[in-house]
Amino acid sequence: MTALPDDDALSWGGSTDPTHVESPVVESPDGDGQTNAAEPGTSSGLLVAYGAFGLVFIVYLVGWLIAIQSAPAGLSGSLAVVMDRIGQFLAFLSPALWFFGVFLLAPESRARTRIVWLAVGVVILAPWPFILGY
Amino acid sequence: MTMNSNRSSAGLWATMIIAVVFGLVFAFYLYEAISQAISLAQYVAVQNPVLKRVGHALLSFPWLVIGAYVVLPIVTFVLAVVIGRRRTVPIRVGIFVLALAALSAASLTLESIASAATRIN
Repeated sequence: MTALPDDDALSWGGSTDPTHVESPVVESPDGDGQTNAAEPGTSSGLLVAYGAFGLVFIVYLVGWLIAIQSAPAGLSGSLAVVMDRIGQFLAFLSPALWFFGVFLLAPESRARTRIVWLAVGVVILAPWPFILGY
Repeated sequence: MTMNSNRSSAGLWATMIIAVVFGLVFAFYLYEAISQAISLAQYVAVQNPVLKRVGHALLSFPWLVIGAYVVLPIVTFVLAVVIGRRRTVPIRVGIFVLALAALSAASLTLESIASAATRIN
């Protein structure tokens, strides 16, 4: 208790107050009494990076689709034309195949390897025929 | 012991068959690249005297782009073989398909750059 009654009104009595009731202690779900550690910042940063790469590859996919649709159609039947068509189709699929291929082939623990290969894909899979108009 | 050796010889056969089948497709890309390089060189050789006569700037053969275009099928095939080592057959096939897709995209890119470089304005 403090000397002034006004001060009493501005402070909690704490455990010395006869009306004080101790509230139950809430245990954490894992039972160790500690709060859960926050997710490391790198994983959310990585997710953002993967999302950004995914977005770039989606844009590339659209670019390749437009590029191969505007490509001149050759005479059907010859092996070169068939291979050309298959090549165009594979080029269209290449951003998606690259994105999922990197995730399949590079283990989750090697995030830097994944980022490097995704960056290589951004460089080599850019739809230049669409950008240059050929 | 016999079962293990049978399994390893089957794996070796699968490796060989995959490498040969995809090798043929990569070889076709190489053949296409060489054909394109030759026809582009002929085009530049035919156009340049005409351009010279009319006082137009001459075309230059894009050596770097065509060099990369010709070398790319070999590089991607070797990379696919190296990355696919000690992996299962379906994953190895997937790596070859991925390499072919990347090669197709890069080849079309180099073709378009070569076309843009030899365009007469």
